[in-house]
Amino acid sequence: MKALRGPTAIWALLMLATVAGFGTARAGGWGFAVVILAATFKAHLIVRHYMELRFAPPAWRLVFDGLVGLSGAIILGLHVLA
Amino acid sequence: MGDAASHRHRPVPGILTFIAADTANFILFFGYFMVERLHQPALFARSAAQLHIQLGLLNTVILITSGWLVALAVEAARAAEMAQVRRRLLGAIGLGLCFAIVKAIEYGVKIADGLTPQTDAFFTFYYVFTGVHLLHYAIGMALLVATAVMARTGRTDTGFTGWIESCALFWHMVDLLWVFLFAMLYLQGAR
Repeated sequence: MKALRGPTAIWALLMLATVAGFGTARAGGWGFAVVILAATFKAHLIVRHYMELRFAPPAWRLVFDGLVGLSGAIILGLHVLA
Repeated sequence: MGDAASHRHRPVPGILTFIAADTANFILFFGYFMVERLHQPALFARSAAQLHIQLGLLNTVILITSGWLVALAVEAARAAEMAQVRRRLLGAIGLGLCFAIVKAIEYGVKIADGLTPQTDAFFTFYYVFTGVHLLHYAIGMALLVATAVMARTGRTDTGFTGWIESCALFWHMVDLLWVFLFAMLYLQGAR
């Protein structure tokens, strides 16, 4: 399990998510939803693992999970409204 | 990054407050851009299509890989393996320099094509947001270089682990902000 959470495993997941998000680049609607979901997943990985928020008190985890979720929600929500 | 149970509820570095506030500030940027985009989605999609998506992708890969090396350098610092810390930081700094070179090429090509901050609303946002991000990147690079110098000169006895952890947090924030900027500016098409 440790290997799956190590920096190299997280790097591999970040690269996979980058490829997944790039697959629907320049699309609108559902295609852009895939882009933003991939970006939000990447941000979540960076915050939890590289910034090590998974070891922080719950209030701090909530703050950063909230910031990441809000970023994705605002971009995707306003894209859908356009 | 060791076993989770042994690291539960570590003390939170003070820099985390700044990072949270700065990230919140960028969320306002994202909202401002997306609200403006509501008024002219076709123009924003047309202008976004003129960005070099491959250069944006390349910079994403560069920052992700640089962040990985910094995370490995923090691990090495905790294990007091200073030679590893130096090597990994130098790798991260080298890749970081590539980010600036790619960005300079991108700006140069855009300006040569006549696409400046005055071109339209999209390009105003593009230059301002990527410029503010570049400022964060420059601060992050300066912190990495200072950390590498400390590791090289052996000034690592008091508080070095806390220092490198804080610098790493800042560098990961640069990566975090780029993830959303890349998606919003480069990868967004019209509905």
